Amino acid sequence: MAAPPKESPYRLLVEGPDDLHSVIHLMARHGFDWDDESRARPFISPTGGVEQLLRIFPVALKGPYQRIGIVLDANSRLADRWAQIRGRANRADVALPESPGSEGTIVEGRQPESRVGIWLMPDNSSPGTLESFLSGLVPPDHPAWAYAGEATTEARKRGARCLEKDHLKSTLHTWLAWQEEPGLPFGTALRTGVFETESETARRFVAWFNRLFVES
Amino acid sequence: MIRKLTVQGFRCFRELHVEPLTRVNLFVGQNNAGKTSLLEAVELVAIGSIEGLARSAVRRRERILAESEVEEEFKEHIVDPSHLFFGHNLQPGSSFLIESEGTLSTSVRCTVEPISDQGTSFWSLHFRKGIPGSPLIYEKQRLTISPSGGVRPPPKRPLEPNPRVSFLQADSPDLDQLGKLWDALVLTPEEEEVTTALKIIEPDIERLAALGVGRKFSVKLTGVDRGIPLGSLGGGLGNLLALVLHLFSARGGFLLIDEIDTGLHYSIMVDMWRLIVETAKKLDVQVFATTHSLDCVRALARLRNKYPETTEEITLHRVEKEASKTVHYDAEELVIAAESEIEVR
Repeated sequence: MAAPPKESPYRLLVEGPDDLHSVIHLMARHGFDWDDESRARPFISPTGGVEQLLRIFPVALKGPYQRIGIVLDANSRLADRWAQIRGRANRADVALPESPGSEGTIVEGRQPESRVGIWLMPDNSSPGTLESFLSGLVPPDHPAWAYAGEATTEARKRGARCLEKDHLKSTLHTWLAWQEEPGLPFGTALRTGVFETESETARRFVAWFNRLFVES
Repeated sequence: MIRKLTVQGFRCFRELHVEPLTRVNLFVGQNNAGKTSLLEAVELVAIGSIEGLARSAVRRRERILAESEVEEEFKEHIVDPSHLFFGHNLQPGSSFLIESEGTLSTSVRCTVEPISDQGTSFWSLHFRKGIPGSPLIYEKQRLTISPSGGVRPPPKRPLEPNPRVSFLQADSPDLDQLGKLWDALVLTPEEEEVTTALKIIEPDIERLAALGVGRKFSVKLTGVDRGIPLGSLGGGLGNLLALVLHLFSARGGFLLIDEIDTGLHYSIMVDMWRLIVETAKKLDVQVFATTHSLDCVRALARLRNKYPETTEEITLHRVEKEASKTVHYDAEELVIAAESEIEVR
């Protein structure tokens, strides 16, 4: 076992540990071998949130990396988020298109032959978060999914302090609490098959990751 | 102070622009990317006379291959200037240009030209100094190139410390030269500052002296009643002493340090940078240094965190092979890179 070293010429910046483990295990389920020392694999940095990620992004773009990716939540206003990312990239002399590509964005980096990739959770076109992406991997017609949503709404009515804007996040954690092994973190739930690994969006994410980090 | 540097056709640079330059500038980059050549470009433009031309060639031992006994005899005094030119190409028309902008605004151009009155087999090396963007030439000098392609550096001893430009090499310091630099500081208030600087490594040092015919540096340690040779306390002290003495000798000018981390443990590097930044500011010295060491780079970030007032004084430039400009990081970006373990070298 040898995870990618931080000296790797490939770097992926994500918001936090949930994103880190989700990417690792989703990609592992899709055949990516994180321990294959014969090839460059991205070292993934959880940055501590979107603001911090946006601070680090231009500094990383200037670095001697061959491939750099960022995965971050679009949140409520995708166009604003994209404008922020574009501004930061511009600071490091990397030009991004006016709007994100639906298959994930990949452009040429500063260095010759280098690549820069951006994935906006959930799908580069809708507002949302990592949790929106993962809710797409809940097995369809799972008996407890709809009920987890109703229970979250009901709980809030009864005074639970979770916010309306975090409804999906609360629902997802509620649903995870009701599995055979209750309360698994996202990454483990992906690894053990609690989440499915196929959805149209997941397929596109995997293809984006492979275009950025695997294809020569 | 140089704020911007342009180098064309000098050594490995086809064309390179370096800006912004601040009080203290650290150059990083792969082997053979041109970090040392960049120091040499600064040296040449700062000296601004033909006397500076051969310095780097002498340091690099760029000699000609002697083709006769006479040449063999003089070989030690003759350098091969071809390496100063991009592609190691010495022929009529070869030229390089180095320009600085800032309070030192100087343009230095060196060209190879045939000597018309002596037939075509003789060439000369022309040195012209002016102001960037101006056709006026303030200084024009030349050296004759021998048939075997060598030039004899001007009579002034090439490694005599220039009052304005100090170049400190990676290898072990030249104690003779250090002795002279030290003599210039003895019995001045700065003598004590040198001792204080050495305490970064060895807090027990009370006094420093250069003793005897061989000018052996010795120190007085707290609680020890006789002088202890500096060399017996480890190589790092010698390197730090060299750095401090060169810093003082560059007053009002430029200090160029190749591989600044040589011999220094990472634990003292923040203090080393603090010393350099504070002293450079006080003495109006602009510092250019190279390193391969991540610890050395991270120490600059720690310096900025500990002493936010240093923010404006520090810039890091990565020199990349064949690129037309360096990639630069300000102090805050260095902090971000250090915190998130982002590579800058």
